[in-house]
Amino acid sequence: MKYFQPNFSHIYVERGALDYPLSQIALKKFSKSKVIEVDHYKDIFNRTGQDFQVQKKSMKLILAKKTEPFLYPASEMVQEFGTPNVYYNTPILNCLYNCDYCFLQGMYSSGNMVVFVNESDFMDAIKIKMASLNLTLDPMVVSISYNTDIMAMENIIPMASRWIDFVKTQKKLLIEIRTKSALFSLIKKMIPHENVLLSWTLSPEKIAEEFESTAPPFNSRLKSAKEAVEAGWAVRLCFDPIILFDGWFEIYSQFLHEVFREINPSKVRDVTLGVFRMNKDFYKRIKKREPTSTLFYDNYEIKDGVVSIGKKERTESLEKLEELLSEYLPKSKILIWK
Amino acid sequence: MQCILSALKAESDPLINFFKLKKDDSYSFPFYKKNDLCLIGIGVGKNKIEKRIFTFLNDYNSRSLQFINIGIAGGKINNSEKGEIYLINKIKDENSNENYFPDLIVNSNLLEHSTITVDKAIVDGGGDYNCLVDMEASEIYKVCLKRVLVHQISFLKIVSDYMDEDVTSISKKKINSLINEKLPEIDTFLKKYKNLQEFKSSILGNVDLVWISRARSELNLTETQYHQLLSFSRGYRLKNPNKKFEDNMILKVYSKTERNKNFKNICEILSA
Repeated sequence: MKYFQPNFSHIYVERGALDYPLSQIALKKFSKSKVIEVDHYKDIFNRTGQDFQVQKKSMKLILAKKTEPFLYPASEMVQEFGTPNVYYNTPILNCLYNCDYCFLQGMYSSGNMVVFVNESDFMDAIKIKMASLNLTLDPMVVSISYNTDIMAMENIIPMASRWIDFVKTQKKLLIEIRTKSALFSLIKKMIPHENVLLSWTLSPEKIAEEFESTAPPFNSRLKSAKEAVEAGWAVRLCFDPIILFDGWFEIYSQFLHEVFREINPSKVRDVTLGVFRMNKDFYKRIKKREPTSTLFYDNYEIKDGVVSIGKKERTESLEKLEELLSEYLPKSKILIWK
Repeated sequence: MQCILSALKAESDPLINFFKLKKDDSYSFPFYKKNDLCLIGIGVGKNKIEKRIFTFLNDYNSRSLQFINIGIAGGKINNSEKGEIYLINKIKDENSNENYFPDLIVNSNLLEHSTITVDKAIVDGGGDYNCLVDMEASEIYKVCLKRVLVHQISFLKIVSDYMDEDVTSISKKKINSLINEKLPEIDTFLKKYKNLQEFKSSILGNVDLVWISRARSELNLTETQYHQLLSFSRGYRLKNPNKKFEDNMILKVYSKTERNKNFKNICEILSA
């Protein structure tokens, strides 16, 4: 018996968001969904007394119009690619997936998803910012998939492809689309652009099954990443978070071997490495709700507002992995959150 | 536990009979119960809701408690049907203009509608009202939300009239009949809704909690140590669903130093 409503059984639409093309696409896609009008997306998304994990059993879609700010400076927990002009934006709040280690469950009180349909306002904000920056040496980098997985939504709301089209009109803009999706096929027909960085988060099968059970399995993600590399896209591979457990090094060694057996490492733009880490307030908020993932019951240290594995163990583990990775790629291509 | 909230005796009676609920006279208001299901008569309008629900909560407070408001409502001839039952997806309080949105997680197959909660019965045909009209929903939502989460509050409304009859003037027989007709749907909804309760079950079982309580008192743990122990114990239980918390982990200690040493040892075992 199916106990829960399917995802997006209900679509909440802000009055002012209804006529936007992205709203119309979503409403057409889910023509059987119940549409409920709201004054403001926060009336539903920021309600008190929500349970993130219960709502994840039947996510609702909220279509809204974002107001400023449209752009934020990147968090220190993100590898910054050696450029000072790194930003992120939030065209979507929350993710189709629900990985155990994800900070979104601590950031948002709701498990539902908000799609901001006024995409041109986001794009205009980038243009304005670019005009104020000195971009003679470095481009402006914008992560458009920071609080979501925009590619995972591509068959629902084709935002990734629209952002790629936008980048093609901007010379000094690089966007990063980080994903765990297996939907590369949906943008496969587009001509690759050097200023679009497609980043796949990959984890060993054991980790993917235990901590990323709602995301596509490792093999599907690897296949998508491989197709992107072979089609000529700039691809970053994110081995992040690395989860440490008994026998982790052997599992990760085997995993990296599998990855680079499929994907030619010389064709990968770079890779990122990092262990499980989280803003301490998000972590505390999640712990308060008694999460059922074992991840939240390990020994961590809190430093500078970040919860993570102790510095010594973290550094040793990441150095071991860096050594291992350097068999495939030069160290200059390995970005590490230490 | 599931707790039905209904305003009128004529609404409650069919539910009490169907679910074979027994009156509990220890309350000063209508209260009926059988096993994991109970019913509170909350009276018509907003006035008595908070006091009655909070009195009940003094005795029955649990993480998995669910409140279900079941009652009649006025409908609109062009968008609702007399005798039909609706799951409420939006509640507007006419007084404050505030909107409330119940979570709609359970696959109920019921039709849905929004409702507006008014202070006085609408008997003039409803004029500009385009949704159902009731007299309790917004207050129930606000009161219950002080103690439970959004997904633990649901509203089922059966259309009794097209806003042309005062709720107090609708015959008892008619209301009984409206509720009786929809008992199978109500029963199915309650059963499906109950499935959500399992998501609030605690990681630690009663036996685990007894062991933790023993460790706390015998080792005279500080508040911080107690919370750390709870956390490590949850991790241990998740990793070892069938293992016991061994009694011999807790030693007889005679000083804070010994206590701290034993505590550290326990944490290491639990987090291994």
